[in-house]
Amino acid sequence: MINPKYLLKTTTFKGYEVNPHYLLRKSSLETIHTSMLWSLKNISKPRAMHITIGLTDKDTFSIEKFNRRLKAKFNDEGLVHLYSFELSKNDNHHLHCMFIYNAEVHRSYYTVYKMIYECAMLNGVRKEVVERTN
Amino acid sequence: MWNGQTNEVKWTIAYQEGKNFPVHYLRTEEQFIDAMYRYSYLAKVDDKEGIRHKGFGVIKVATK
Repeated sequence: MINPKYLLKTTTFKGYEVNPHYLLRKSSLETIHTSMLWSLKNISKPRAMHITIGLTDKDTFSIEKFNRRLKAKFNDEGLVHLYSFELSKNDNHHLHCMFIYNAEVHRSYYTVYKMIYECAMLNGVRKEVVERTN
Repeated sequence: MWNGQTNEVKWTIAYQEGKNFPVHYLRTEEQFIDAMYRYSYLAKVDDKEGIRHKGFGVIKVATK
């Protein structure tokens, strides 16, 4: 078990309200906060999006490869990718992603979603086959 | 195959719709506060073992 001293014991972090329903790691909150502040200074028009990616196996999926693809795809536009692996109660692995992208370049969030989707098509990403019934 | 059609593959990549809007600007203080609340979820520690697999991280690329 994680040492309790690393966990947030209140429902606010640096004066900001945070999700009160889970145990939150203070260092991760610090990273989220500083990354958001960084985006304000370094991305001309930052906009955030939350995406989850289902995984078949935590060890098969390469976060390094995913990040390399994102950097190549978004190039010099400005991007923050903050990611967090999670093992949910039903034993399915997920990757939670916060993307901060440049809304000056991409007005449509769907376009950004499709770009991320293309980058995320890697080994270890879960896919479900939906059988046609007619 | 079913009636000449291939089965559909559905990738489990989904974007999380916010309560009223799908994306969050960070420009105003109110927007920043709201985003901090929503994205604080990513700091969640797994209930089972108190650790995350492969962990937590960030990459940043500035606008040039």
